[in-house]
Amino acid sequence: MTHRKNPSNLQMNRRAFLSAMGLTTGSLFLPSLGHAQEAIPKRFLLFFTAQGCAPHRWICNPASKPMDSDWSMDWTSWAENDFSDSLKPLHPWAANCAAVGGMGLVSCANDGSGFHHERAKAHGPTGADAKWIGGMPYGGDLSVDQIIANHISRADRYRSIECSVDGGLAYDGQGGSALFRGPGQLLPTIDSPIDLWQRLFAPQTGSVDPLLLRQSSVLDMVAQRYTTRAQQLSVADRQKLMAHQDLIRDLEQRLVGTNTAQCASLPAEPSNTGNYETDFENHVQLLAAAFSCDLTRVASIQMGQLTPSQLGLPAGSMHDRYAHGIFYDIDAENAMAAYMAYHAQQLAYILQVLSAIPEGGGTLLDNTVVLWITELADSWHGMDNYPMVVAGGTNSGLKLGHYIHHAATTPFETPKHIASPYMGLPHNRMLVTACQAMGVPVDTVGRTSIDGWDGSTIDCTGALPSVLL
Amino acid sequence: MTTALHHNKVALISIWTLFFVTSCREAEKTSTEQTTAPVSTSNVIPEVPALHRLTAKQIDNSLSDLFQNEDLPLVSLPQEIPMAGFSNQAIMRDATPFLVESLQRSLSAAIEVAVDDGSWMTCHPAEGDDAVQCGKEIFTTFLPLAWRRPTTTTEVDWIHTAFSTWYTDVGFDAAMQLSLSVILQSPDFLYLTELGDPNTENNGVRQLSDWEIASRLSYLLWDTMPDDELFAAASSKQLRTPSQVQSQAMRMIRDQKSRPAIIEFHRQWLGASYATEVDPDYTAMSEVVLDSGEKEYFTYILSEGTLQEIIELDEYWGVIKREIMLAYEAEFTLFANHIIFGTGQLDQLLTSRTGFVSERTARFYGVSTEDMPSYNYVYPADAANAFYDNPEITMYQVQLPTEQRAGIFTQGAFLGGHSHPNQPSPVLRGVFLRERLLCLTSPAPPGDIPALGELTPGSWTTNRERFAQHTQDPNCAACHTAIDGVGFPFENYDAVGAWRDRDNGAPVDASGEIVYTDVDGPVSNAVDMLEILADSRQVHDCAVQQLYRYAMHRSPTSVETDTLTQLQDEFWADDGIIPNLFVRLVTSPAFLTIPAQNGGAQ
Repeated sequence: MTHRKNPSNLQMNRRAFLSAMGLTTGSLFLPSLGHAQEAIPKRFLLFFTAQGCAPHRWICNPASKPMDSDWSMDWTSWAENDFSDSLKPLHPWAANCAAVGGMGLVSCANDGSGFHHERAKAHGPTGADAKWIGGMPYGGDLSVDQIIANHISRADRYRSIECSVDGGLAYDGQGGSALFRGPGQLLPTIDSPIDLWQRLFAPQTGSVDPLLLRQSSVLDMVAQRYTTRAQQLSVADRQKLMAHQDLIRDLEQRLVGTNTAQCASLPAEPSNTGNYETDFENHVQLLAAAFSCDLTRVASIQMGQLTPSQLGLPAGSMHDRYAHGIFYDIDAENAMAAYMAYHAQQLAYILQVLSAIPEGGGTLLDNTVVLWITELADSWHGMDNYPMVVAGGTNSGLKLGHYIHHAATTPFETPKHIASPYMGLPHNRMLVTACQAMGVPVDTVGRTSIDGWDGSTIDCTGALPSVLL
Repeated sequence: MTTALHHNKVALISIWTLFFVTSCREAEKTSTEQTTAPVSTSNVIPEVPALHRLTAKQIDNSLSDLFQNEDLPLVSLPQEIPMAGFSNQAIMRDATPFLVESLQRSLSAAIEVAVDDGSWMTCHPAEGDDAVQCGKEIFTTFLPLAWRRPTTTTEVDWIHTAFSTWYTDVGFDAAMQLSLSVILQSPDFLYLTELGDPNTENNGVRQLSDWEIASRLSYLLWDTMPDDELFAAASSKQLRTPSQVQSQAMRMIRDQKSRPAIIEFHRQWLGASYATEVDPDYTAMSEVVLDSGEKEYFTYILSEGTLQEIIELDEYWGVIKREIMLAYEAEFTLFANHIIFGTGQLDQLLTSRTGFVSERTARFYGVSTEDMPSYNYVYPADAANAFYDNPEITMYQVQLPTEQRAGIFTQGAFLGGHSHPNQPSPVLRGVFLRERLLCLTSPAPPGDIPALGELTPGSWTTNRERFAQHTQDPNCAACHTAIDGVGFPFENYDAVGAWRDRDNGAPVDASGEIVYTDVDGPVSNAVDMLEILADSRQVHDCAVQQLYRYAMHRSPTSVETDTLTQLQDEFWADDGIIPNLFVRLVTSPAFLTIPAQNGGAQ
């Protein structure tokens, strides 16, 4: 993604586009002119970070409530020190967040063994049994962001935007991404904010406007050609070409649509890429601008591994030196608490950027739901105590401003530091909760049920009443 | 095969580029395959069609050829998702919204430049030609080239009609841009759609058409579209028999155009891109990585520098790291070219002492660059360019210490790319070697419980001792014996790939053991191990399997075992000459046929 033409100004381009369509400012009417004419849309942002927590440094329980019962506490009045080390950076944003404790990656614990990182990251956003390709586990169904995108995205805008920082959750032998359009269908990410800017805010091709105006008829011909050619091919090849054809049809609608988006102000092209923190911040700013212009309603950021030096620790492998050691090595425990706190600080940054953009009578944050999930539950490769945080504002549809605890009552055993026959609630239910908060009428994300050891059926469906308003 | 025989063959096979070489091993065989017989169709019925979409590189090269212009903007597509090394595997390459959008944008940008240039057009209204007639003339020639097959009058008329309408609205050049945009976004350009020749159907298998074979050949051997000669061969039905295909394939491999394409297979197979994973920690690595001036500067700043100076030092360290990465990229590519287009042999890839070093990496290898032949290596223009502050580096060809280095697995991309910042990883090195060279997958760690105490500080001195704690747990021992057995021999190379005799003050123990292969047994160090692996039949068989995956864009299926076995027998008998393997593969039934049910709707 390096060849870049000299970017010209999108505003110029759009004006040229509109005048080429014969639309003067006097007669200008387009259906997507800001939100005065229509209800403000809701947006969804998935924040997906590596490793997992040190559970005893993530859970908040300043009132020493019993852990074997469900409870919820308003944490907006807590002192900073009432927050766990991992979540402390959320203190200033307490009213806009809810941490949901007592969840478990039950579907993952139930789905084979080994490949902990890869298997867990396939389950985290999908809740579905992994699809194995070439001996590696991938998401076995749509990820939660894509379920939401299917329902809320505009056909004439970007369906969803996938970003990563420092390669995201790609691993040796399993590159790419951890989000899926369908079983095993990975969505490539944009790693460089310069590329993201190019995609979202640079003008189409730099071509003269008459060409842009005729791209629809170009794509219409291309789509015809896919149909004709596909009919001559075998079933499998035909399906591949027809899938491509469908995407051409989508693009046809989007090409004009994205050029008619209205942005209060256009973000500048980022001047550099390659730095973990500034890439993240630039991604957030560009995505927030894209939300604000209604260029897209669904986005995600997959964060690459942090290194010890980013946390001010001696050099070494984060994974080998620290991640595994959270239950028996105080340095490792501190390191992983700092690891989560680093990302919690980034979540706070996301909220800050979203809340700085006015929208309707409030801000963009009011109309956005942010879901923060991690790769594993704990960085010891454990599957229980999966740390989940939701955030947003007035219209989130969520009981924000709370720390919400669920007792471990799921009759499914997974290796734990302190052995127990029970796990937390299936994390699928939080994925359902996020969908329903977004107005998506689904009751299931991924698996519907899992067999418990006591002969019962573990229900993975339904939103959590403790979290959904 | 004896070692003596093995080492005597070099003079004979170094002339492989002149003709299809009969090697020592093949001479031992009583019969050789003859390639003039019609394609045998009895064994090969690939079950899984793998409709191939051109890679970004293949699109760029094809556009350069079509428009006879080397300076078109490169296409910018989403990252490919690799599977076990290869980023061209059909199963991972379904179209995505971002891809389709990127193709539209990138192709339009390239087309705009191509039309502005216009030198590829045979007529133009600016020259006084009739615009509509000129459009017809251009499409009549261009469409069969772009779609790599004869096109029908209907197809030419289809695009010409659209062109004529657009011409009225927006003029010649703009209409030409729009028309080309249709042609090049079509599946006929972007995909290798194959129907096969229904007239050749036999035993459920069809031969590919001459045109389809021409495309398969050129995209494998050249990473671009067929040239005039290949098209002419297709047109005169001269791509029917294996011997006809063989003579074209040999012509193509002798052409310089084959070099980057054939090296690309090696880059993906043997992990050239791991060069960008080299990430040494300067506090641990300063002794070899820095020259004396740099060392002095680092020491001074780290002890007495201001915060600002330390931040600047950190940035400078980033520049040094990029320089090391680029040197390792260059090392891999220059070495692979040197071997593949020299003797062409797999065992040389694994054992040659010829090295390519920069001023800095020469220190890691303990060699001098003085009076050595030098190359100005420029990293090819593509996505990674942005990664390198300066994509050029001076490299020197040297002889490496015989006792310390042997081939590609003692080079920086592999060694440094499979290390943590301050210590090498015998596990990453072992897993990679097993997967890529022995085609052995490493099972996932068993159970869900990490070995508690595996990292208990203070209980170890050397890196090896630290990792050896894995194998003390019986749950881990089975696999780690296999992985570490081929990983520990690399303990003589630190996290940046520099030679070391001592680790943390203690002598390095680089002994290991090869297991689950045809050459099982103890080894004393990496050089010893690589000499043994270079003579392994399993390693040779694995190389064939890897090329098969790369060339067919998919894994072999169970019904292809016979073809694979035959290629493996031939490769072994041929002393593992890789360019010959390319030729044998493209003349094999698997490459020249498709199952009838894949040959299109009936």
